[in-house]
Amino acid sequence: MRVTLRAIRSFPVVRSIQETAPGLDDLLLDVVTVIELSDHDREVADNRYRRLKPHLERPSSTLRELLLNNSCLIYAQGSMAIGATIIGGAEDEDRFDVDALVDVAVPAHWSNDEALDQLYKALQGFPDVQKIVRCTRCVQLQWTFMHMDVTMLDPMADPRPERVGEIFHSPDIGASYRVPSNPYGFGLWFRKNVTYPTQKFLDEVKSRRRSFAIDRLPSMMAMDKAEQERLPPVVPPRVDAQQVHALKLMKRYLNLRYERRGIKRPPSIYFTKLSVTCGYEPLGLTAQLERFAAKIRIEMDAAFAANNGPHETNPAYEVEQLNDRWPTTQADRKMLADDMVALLEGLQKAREAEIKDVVAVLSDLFGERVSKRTLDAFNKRVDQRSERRTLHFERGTGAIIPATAVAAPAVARSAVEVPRHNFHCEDDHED
Amino acid sequence: MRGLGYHQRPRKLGAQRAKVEGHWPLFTFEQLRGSMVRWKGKIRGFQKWYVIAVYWDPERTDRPYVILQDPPLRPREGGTFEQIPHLMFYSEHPELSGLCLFDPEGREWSNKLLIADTTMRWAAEWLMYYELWHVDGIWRGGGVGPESIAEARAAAIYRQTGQLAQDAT
Repeated sequence: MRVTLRAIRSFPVVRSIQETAPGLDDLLLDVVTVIELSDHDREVADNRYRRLKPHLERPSSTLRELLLNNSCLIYAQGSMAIGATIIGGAEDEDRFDVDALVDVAVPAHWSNDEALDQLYKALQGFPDVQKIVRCTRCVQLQWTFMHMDVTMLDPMADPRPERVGEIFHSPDIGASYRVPSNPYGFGLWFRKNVTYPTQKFLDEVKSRRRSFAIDRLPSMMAMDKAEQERLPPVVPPRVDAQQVHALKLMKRYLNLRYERRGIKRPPSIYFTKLSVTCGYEPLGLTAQLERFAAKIRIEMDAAFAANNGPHETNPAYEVEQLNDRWPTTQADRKMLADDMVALLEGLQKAREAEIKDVVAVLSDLFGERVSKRTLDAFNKRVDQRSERRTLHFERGTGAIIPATAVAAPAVARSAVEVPRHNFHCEDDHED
Repeated sequence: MRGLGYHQRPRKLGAQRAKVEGHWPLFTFEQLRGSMVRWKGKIRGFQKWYVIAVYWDPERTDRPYVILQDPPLRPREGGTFEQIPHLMFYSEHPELSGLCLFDPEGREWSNKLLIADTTMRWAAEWLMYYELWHVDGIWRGGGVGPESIAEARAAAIYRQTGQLAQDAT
């Protein structure tokens, strides 16, 4: 079903400057900075990606010959390829999951189970790893704070569109089969189609990242010791587009919702595509997240009505269906639609609430620990007690704009300085 | 003061009205008894909308008096009005206390300045810090002198007691 822009905007309707949300946008950006991977996390992941190839090619590896005799590529895929990885769902956990792809031609005589069986064997003994699990489509390497899903991709025969191939679906029970796949092309499509922000915005985000990284380091000291060599990164850089920030928020929200449900959750890649196709929202991060949620809700309502779909494909390789294993029931569709309604209601409440209640909404949507850290950071930024700060506000409404660099363009254009002054106090009982 | 348009003479009511009308479209003007006027309308400091009223007498040198109308001023849970920071306290009806937005001794406001550029902006800022204060009781907006009437009165009692003790010796 085609979804029109009008339909997407029908709930909620953002009509005028009175409905901008500079304060909430600012807090949501802090939430993003708290839930995303720190530079340190990315370094750790990067080093583990880097170790994959030498490990799989070591003399005792069962895949050594295959990898050395064929041109083999190993690279980040999924959220790491687009810089949208977030820390795990659980409130007290800093764990994050990344994906890697081993792109190598497998022997023609291998069954559809063999590739993952061989990969599972070859990954044994990976440095520092605590557990290795063979899953239906990947082999998962587990460390205390990080999981890495390693998938094998058998390249398409020449002439091959760039990095197109098939991955293996190999369950414990049931038939195995191959699945057309081009995650690399999807990543390129994603990076090309999001709307990029200004340099000022990037600088502000970078500065927030620095302050959060400092706060976060103590809890990360116990992190597994991956080799910390300063080498050119293999993990692609982050994408700091507003749509990516909305995607991170959506993933965090759904992680918490699905955590306790014990049912199959929608695949991240499905949301990744919709975060782009819902379009860019010039009224800021809150409105972007609302636009994204409204789009998902419309998709789910349509699929529910049809008792079929959605069928979201990889724009870089249309034969690949991104959500080929989800949804399987009407309840799946209904649940996600209801989640979107709850998210939209929460955001609407936060739009009109005082800070205390905004924080309560953020706790509900993204977790208590995250909202507490967000408020702490905000408090530090606006504190005038030890250092005078020039605040700006939105002309016409008075809304304080905590950082004009990260405000929506429409808000930033109307930003006016609050003139210097000192609050005072007077008693009518004074003589 | 940076960015403020000081005028040679006190601003006339017409100029004040025009500026508020232009910059604060959600406010309406009303002529009250005598020369007293009032602007009333919606403003927000963070996300929540408040209705405030700005009273001013253009024929006097008095500063504008700003009150929260909806929702009205409220103390923290279990606290008192006297603890609310930075008010022009009105003991008889504390919920009608004005917001004390500048230091009179610091010459931060005079009737040569525009209410739209000063009072209204400061009120928005006050509202944001008031909301933060409601979260944890800490006023982060800065200021001069005692933070609240409760603090000022406690200090006065402390001074008096000290004086009495000194007199007794």
